[in-house]
Amino acid sequence: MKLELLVSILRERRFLVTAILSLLVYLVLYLAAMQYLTVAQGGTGPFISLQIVPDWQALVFRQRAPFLFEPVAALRFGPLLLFVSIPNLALGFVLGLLVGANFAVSYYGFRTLGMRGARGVHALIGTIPALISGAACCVPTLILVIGLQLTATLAAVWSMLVPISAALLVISLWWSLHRMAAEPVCDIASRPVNARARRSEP
Amino acid sequence: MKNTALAAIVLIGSPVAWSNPGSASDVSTLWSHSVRVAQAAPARSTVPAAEEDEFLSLLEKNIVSGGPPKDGIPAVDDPQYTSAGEADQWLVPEDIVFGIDYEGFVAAYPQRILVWHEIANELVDGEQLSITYCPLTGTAIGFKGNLARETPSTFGVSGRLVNSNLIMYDRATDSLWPQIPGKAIAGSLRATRLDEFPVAWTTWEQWKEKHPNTRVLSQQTGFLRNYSSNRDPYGSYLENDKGYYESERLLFPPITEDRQLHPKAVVVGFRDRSGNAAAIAKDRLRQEKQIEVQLGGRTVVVTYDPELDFHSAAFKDTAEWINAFDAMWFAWKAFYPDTQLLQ
Repeated sequence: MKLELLVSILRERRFLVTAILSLLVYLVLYLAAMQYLTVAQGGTGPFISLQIVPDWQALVFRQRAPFLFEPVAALRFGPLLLFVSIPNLALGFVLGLLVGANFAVSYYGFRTLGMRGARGVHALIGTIPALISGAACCVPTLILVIGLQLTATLAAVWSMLVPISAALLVISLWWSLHRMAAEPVCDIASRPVNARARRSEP
Repeated sequence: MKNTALAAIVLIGSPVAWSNPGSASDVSTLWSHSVRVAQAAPARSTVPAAEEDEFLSLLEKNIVSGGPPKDGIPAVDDPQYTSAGEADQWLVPEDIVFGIDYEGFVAAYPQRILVWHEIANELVDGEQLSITYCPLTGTAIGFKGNLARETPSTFGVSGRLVNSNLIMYDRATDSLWPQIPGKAIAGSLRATRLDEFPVAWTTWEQWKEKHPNTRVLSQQTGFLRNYSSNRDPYGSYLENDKGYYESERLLFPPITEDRQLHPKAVVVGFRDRSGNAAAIAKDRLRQEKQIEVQLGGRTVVVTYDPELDFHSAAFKDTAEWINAFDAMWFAWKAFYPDTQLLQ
């Protein structure tokens, strides 16, 4: 039921575009937070280059930190440097799908059902833990910025940020769809697009 | 259990007699000749066993996870090198390098590479050496892999820390070795201390000037990291904003805290095999050039080398080499709470 609603929302172009853009923006932020997408300093090589580590098969699933895997290739495109870690790309893509779905559903709720308030913020909140977890490449330097000292408890929480983020995004999406499914009519085609019209109903 | 393990360890030789690479007052001799170090197995400390056991247990209890799993920070096990000329294309003069001149093997290990690996294992004339660097305590120390007679080993990064200091593990016995004391705190080699060799913390410009034919650790480490960046995950030695390296904040609480100096102030620390320790503020050594310190009833002469902005140390009576290395004050004090401090 809820999945059908999600699919029907994504059938409309504007919501699908919202989902795809959100996914792409999230993926870029996720990779940048891990420093897997960065600006290369110096170097005199070609504009585009690809470097693959010789022993990539042995490294592809090797963890550097919880939910952070060894890059097996480096793609340089001008000043941009992308470290390719296949598990992290897959992880970022899955989280990005959830982020995209959240934004599309929030946008749908706002435009079609006239839902306002904190609903649209759900998706943002869900992304934060995963972005923070990306900074855990070697040591959580954000901790230093925040001014805390790393305790065993905090370290354990830190290592769980990716699953926490995924859980938050799933809950947020499920809750939004649940609320929308409870609306009197949830067929997109029959809904008035004008939010004001929806709010003026008794 | 620990006492049993202690009892089971056989004393493996007398304390190592370090041969002197040059007189204590002649650092240029020290760094212009290959360092000769006795080929002996590591020795046990002469600190009273109960006291030592208690302190090792305290260190063991204070082990924390640094975040990465075992080998999550990968040691460089097959180092490749480039020439100084090639290295000039990607190193700037101010780059920190860790230089070794051991038995004719002259090499520089750039901080911007080792910060991602913390350990480089190298075989020199059949002898297993490890160049180790802990970013959180600002310490670069050379260890020999002769854990026991005819038991050479390489080292890896355990992913754990004590007093913010790197804890290495040896691949022969899996014992845990905090870098600063160089002594095992857990495992079958508990209380054994590693042999060391000199590693100079200097700049690329200074090292190259002194060793124009040096080899330099290559960026081909077998792993992909952003070696080109002037910033590492902790901060930067090349930019005005040095991040962790100058912040008063620590990431992990040390066992002992002391505010006589800024926590990240650089001191030259040295300790004997009896556990006596002393630290000299680096700026004071720069100023005075040579300082004598009493350590366990013997005089240690520490001599500044302006060519490398580094130093050497030796016992005055025998000219026996003693490892004196740069360290952040908070870390030195945490490992050696009774240390002398010459501010």
